[in-house]
Amino acid sequence: MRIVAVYNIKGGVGKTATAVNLAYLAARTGRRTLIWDLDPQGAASFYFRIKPKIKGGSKKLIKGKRDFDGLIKGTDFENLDLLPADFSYRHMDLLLDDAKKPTHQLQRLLRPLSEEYDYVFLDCPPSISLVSENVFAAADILLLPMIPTTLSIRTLSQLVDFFRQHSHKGIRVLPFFSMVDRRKNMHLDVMQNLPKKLKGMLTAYVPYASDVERMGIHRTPVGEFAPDSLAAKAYEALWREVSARR
Amino acid sequence: MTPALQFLIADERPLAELEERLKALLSLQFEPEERVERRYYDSFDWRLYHRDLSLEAVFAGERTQLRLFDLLDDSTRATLEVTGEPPRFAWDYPKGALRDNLEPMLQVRALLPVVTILARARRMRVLNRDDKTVVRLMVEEARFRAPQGGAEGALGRYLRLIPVRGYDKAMQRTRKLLEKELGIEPLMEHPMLRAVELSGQRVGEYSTKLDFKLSPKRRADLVAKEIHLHLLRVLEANIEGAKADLDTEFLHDLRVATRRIRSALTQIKGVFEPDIVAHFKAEFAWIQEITGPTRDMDVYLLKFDDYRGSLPAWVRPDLTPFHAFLLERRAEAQRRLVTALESARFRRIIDEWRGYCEAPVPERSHLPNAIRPIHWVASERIWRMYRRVMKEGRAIDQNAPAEALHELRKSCKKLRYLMEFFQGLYPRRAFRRLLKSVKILLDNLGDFQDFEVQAHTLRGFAEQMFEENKADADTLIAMGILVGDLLDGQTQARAAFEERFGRFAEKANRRQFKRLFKPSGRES
Ligand SMILES: Nc1ncnc2c1ncn2[C@@H]1O[C@H](COP(=O)(O)OP(=O)(O)O)[C@@H](O)[C@H]1O
Ligand SMILES: [Mg+2]
Repeated sequence: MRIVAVYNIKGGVGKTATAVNLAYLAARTGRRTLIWDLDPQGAASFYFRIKPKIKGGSKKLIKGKRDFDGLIKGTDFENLDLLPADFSYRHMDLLLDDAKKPTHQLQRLLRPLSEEYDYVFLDCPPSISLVSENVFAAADILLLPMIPTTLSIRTLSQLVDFFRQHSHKGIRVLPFFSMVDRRKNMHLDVMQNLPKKLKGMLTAYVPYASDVERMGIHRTPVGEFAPDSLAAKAYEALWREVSARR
Repeated sequence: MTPALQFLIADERPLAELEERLKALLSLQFEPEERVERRYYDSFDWRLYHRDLSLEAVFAGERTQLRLFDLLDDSTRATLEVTGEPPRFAWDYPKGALRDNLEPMLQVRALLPVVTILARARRMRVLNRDDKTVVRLMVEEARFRAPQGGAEGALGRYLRLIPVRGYDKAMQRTRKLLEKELGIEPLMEHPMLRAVELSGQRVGEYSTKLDFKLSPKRRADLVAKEIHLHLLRVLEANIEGAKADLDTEFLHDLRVATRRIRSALTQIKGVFEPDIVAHFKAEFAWIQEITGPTRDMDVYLLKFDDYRGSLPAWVRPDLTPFHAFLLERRAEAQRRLVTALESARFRRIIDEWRGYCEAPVPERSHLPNAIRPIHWVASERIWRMYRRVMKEGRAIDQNAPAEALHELRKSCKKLRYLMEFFQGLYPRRAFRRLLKSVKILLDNLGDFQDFEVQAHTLRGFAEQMFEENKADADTLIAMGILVGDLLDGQTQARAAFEERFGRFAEKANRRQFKRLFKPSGRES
């Protein structure tokens, strides 16, 4: 089982769109895939037409007193399941803090699923907190969508430093550009003048595309309603690159 | 979670009609019709099936989706995407869950296609009020095809009901509705198993086990013929695979069957005419001989990684020419093997021996054991062989020559085969323990001899390579280290012998052998 977290400190950079579309593509190639909607806003759950609700609240779940079995929901797509968000996830930090190893609780919770799924996608809330610490400890791959602005490159550098200091072993940080608008000079500029030290930067990127926004209307991944669109192709290229990483 | 359910639809009406009926019953979303090709794989000896598993490959263009799944509930154990055909051997799979599952099961065995299912399929989704999928349906019109242009035909029409996780109630509801409205019942057997049967194969049939059901009072010559027929079937079952070189176990099993036949011929004494025994003894010895060289090379090739790993890291590369030499020799040996297996002599031996074993036994016989009850003959033979093993073993002390141990090994092997042939006649638990004790002793004697043989053969290889200019000094030295290690191994086996035999000769064991096998009283 490989755990792919889609993370950024900031909101609105395309994390959820990425998690949803990549999970969909993984499942389409036969991988048994789970997406865990960790964001109390429940955007990923919404895209799959699943109520953002954990029966009995998230407390028991996070404390490891209730297993995932009755909570995971199948989506419209074969091989793709979802663990829904719950509004109470806003207090997840507090719940995690009570655990024996507060930074490794998510990892512990996911362990029993390792025989059942080939991929687990974590759709993370935007923050740097105990939740994200847990995500870093659990994930094999950290996918970092970034809008190509000077500011975001700075943030990325900070994050890379953070990972050096905290030495999260075995995690692969894979940044990629998201919501790329080729009409904007700054976007092109930033992409062409990338600092060399940004290792692991993926070559595939996701363009700014109205088809991605329309996911909210169709409530399905882009590949379902616009399979030949630029956006769908971009996610495919991104997934090819990510899944090829060992 | 509820498992997926399969129904066989007996209804012969057009599929479109069935779909109309489903549409009337459920809120359904239809997917376009598709054609699917699923091929199933297992080893020749059904190693996956015996664990209720199967490997499924779904071919879609260049990409192939592999799925190791449970035959009982269709649940998935591991998946992998590959290009084209799935790799034949576990070691050829990329690291990951599938390989982790396959390796311990398959070991050296190849995955071979068992059957293909070709289907015209229509997927449907049952939707709830939010248009969310809560159950999946699949109607399939399926055909089966045996591998390599074998039998082909209709498999039937299936309805698959696939649960969506977290929607158990919807699944139960749909199931009840369909059972009531369509009058269908869940199928208990995976369609793949049905396809195998229809294609004329027997699922899980092949086995080299010698666990015959024997009735103690049957005449010995009849039982001997039955045992021989079984051994011959095993031998024959492996001929094609050995010729095609699918994996090394075909030849191995063929050779084991041959060895057992020879042993049965000589050890089940006094049941067949002496000239028949002499003739076939020689003929099966010939089969043993022609199959030897390839197997020898297989043994060294299978051990090669261990050999290499046993050397200091800086010496390892020096062994590469030896590997090349083995491969070359093996290719040559395999060519000869195929010629021999296709020869008239080989066919004749098999056919004549089958003919003899299938012929009815004479009502009367002048042969000493032919019409005696098998139980007596078996016990007599086992008891006698056991006594010989004890006598030879006890005579071995620190100074005994290697020959003495080799002789003991032969007797021990005969004892083992005799016991295996006739295990069905004795109480299971006690018998198993005794057989185990024979095997443990035999392992030690086998090590002693094998290390020696390997050391000598390796030395022979080194000489040949030297003569043929295929090895420089470094390679010869590396092989020399291996020879030294093998001889060390032999010394260790020799040192362990006394203790091993001591355990075999323990009082409790002796008493059990006596109780089970020593003939006493009157023959009935
Ligand atoms: N590549 C894209 N092109 C256009 N709009 C996008 C793209 N990716 C995301 N969006 C839109 O931007 C908003 C935020 O995206 P989302 O994936 O939810 O970001 P995050 O999860 O990082 O907060 C959503 O309305 C989404 O539809
Ligand atoms: Mg989000």
